[in-house]
Amino acid sequence: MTVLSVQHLSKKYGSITALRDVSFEVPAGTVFGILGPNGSGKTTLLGIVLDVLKATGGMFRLFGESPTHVHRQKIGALLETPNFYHYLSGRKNLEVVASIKGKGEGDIEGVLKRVNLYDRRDSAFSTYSLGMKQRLAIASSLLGSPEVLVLDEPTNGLDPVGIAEIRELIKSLSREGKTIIMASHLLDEVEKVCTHMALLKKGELLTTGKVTDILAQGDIVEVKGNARDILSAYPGVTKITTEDDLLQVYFDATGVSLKNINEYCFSKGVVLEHLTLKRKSLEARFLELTQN
Amino acid sequence: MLQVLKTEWMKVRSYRTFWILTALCFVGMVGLNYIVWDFPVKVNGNADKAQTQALLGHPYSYPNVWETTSWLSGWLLFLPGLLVIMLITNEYTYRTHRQNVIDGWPRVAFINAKLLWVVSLAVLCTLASALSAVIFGALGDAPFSTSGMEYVFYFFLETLSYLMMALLFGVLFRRSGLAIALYFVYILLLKFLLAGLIDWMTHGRAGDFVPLRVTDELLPLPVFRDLAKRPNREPLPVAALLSATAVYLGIFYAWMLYKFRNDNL
Repeated sequence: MTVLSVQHLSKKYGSITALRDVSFEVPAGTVFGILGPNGSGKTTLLGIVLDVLKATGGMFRLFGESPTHVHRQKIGALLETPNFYHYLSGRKNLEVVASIKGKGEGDIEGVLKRVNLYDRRDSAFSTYSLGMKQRLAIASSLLGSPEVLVLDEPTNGLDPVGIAEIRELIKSLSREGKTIIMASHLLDEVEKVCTHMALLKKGELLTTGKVTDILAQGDIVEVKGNARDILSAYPGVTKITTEDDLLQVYFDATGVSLKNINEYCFSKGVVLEHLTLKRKSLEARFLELTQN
Repeated sequence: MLQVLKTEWMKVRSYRTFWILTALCFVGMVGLNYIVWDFPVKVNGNADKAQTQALLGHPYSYPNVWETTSWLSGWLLFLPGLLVIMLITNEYTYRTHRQNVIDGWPRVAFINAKLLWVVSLAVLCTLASALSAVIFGALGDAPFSTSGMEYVFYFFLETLSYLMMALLFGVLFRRSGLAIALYFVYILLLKFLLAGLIDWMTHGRAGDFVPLRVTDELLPLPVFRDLAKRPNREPLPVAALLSATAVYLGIFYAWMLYKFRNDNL
C-alpha cells in the first residue's frame, strides 16, 4: 500500500521555483527520507502535503485518496519548528493537540515519558530549551499513535544524546510498523535510519528508491600501489581519484572481485600494498548526484 | 462545533490577558454606565435632580435606559476588539494557526473557531449592557418596560460588526501591533473621515453606510437629540441600516475565509 503518492508537484513563490514536477511514492511501513541541501524544497513539499502551503501544480494522494483534514488527523507531524502556545504548559499544549485530532487525553503522559519530558510537563512552553521544545513537538506527533509520522528535521536543536535517542525512537516506531516520512539535510541521519529516500536539489527530484539501491550504484575499491594506469584499463572502471596516497577506483556496478583485481595487477607486474572494498557512503553518493 | 469550542476554551483558559480583558469589557460597560448615571447626582446633588432631568430627560429610566446603556457601552467596543485581535494574532505569532491545520483542522474550522469567539464576546458585551439597563432602570423612576429593547439587539449587531472587523484586521495583517494600530485608526478616525468624504463627494448620506458607521447609526446619541440633529438629516430607515449591517458581516466573513483558505499559512 502507498501512504503518500506525489504526482508532478510544483510550487512557485513569485519568480522562484521551490518545487518542479516532483513525483514519488512512499510505501507503507518504510522510513522514507526526503534528503536535500538547504533550500532544496523539502519543507515546501511537506508543507503542501500537510496543507499549510498551496501547490502551484500537480497533486498528491494520502492513503490512496484525495487528501482531507481527516487524513491529516491520522498523521503525526512536526513541520519546521515546534509551534505551541507559549503560555500553556507542555501537557496543556498536548491536550489542545489531542482535542484537534479528536483523540482522548489518555496517552499524553505516555508520549511525554517517551521523549523524556514528563518531569517538565507542567512547566510553561516558554520556559523550555530548544531541545525540549523539539521533544514536545515529537511527543505531539506521537499522540493517538498515528500510523504515519511526518518529521521535518526531527533532530534540530537536540544535543548528541538527544539525537541518538530520537534516532532510536524512529527505529522503534518503524519496528512497530509505522511509516515515517522524514526530511533532513543530515546525510548521516538519513543513512542510519531510512529504508527509502528521495533526493531533492533546487526543487527537482534527482533520485528516489531504496537507500541500499541508491547507494549501490557502483563499488569503490581502495588501492595502494603504482596501479593507476593499469587499473584505468580494467573492465568497469569509471574513474580513479587519489585520496591520502590511496587510489579510489570507481566501478560502474557492484559485485567487484578483489581477488580478480589483485591477480590482474600482479599479472601486469604491480604488487598492491593495500586493497579494500569500500561501501559508498551516502555523502559520496549525495555529492555525486548533486554536483552533476 | 462543540469540539471546536472546547479546543478554543483549552487555548485561553490559562491565558491571563484573556481574563483581564474579558473582565475589563464586562466591568467597563457596567462601570461606565454607573459613572454616567451617577454624574448628574455628583455634580448637582439630589436637590437639583429636576434641573438635570429638564436638561437630559430621563436617560436611565424605562424605556430610555435600553437605548442609553446600549449607546454608551458602544464607546467601549475597542476593548473586546483588542481582545479579538490578540486572540487571532497570537496564533500567527506562535505559528499555531499552521499547527492547528497540520494537526487536522480544516482551514474553515480555524476561522469558524475564531468566529465563535466573536459571537461569544458579542453576547457577553450585550449581556453587560443589558444588565446595566436592568440595574440602572430599576433605580429610575419608571416601571420596568420592554419597550425600546430593540436597542439591545442593535447593540449586539454593533458589537458583532466591530469584532468581526477586528478579526478581519487580525487575519489580514497578522502582526498584533499593526492590526491593533490600524483598527484603532479606523474606528477612531478613518471611519469618520471616510464618511465625511463620501458624503461630500456624493452630496448625500452615503457616508453613513461606511463599515461600522452604519451600526453606529442604529444607536444615535440618546440625549440632546434636538441639539445634535443636523439640518435635513432625518434618521435613516432601520431596515436599510440592518440590511447594510448584514451585508458587511457577510463580506467580512467571506473575505477572511477566502484569505485563510487560499493563503500559504
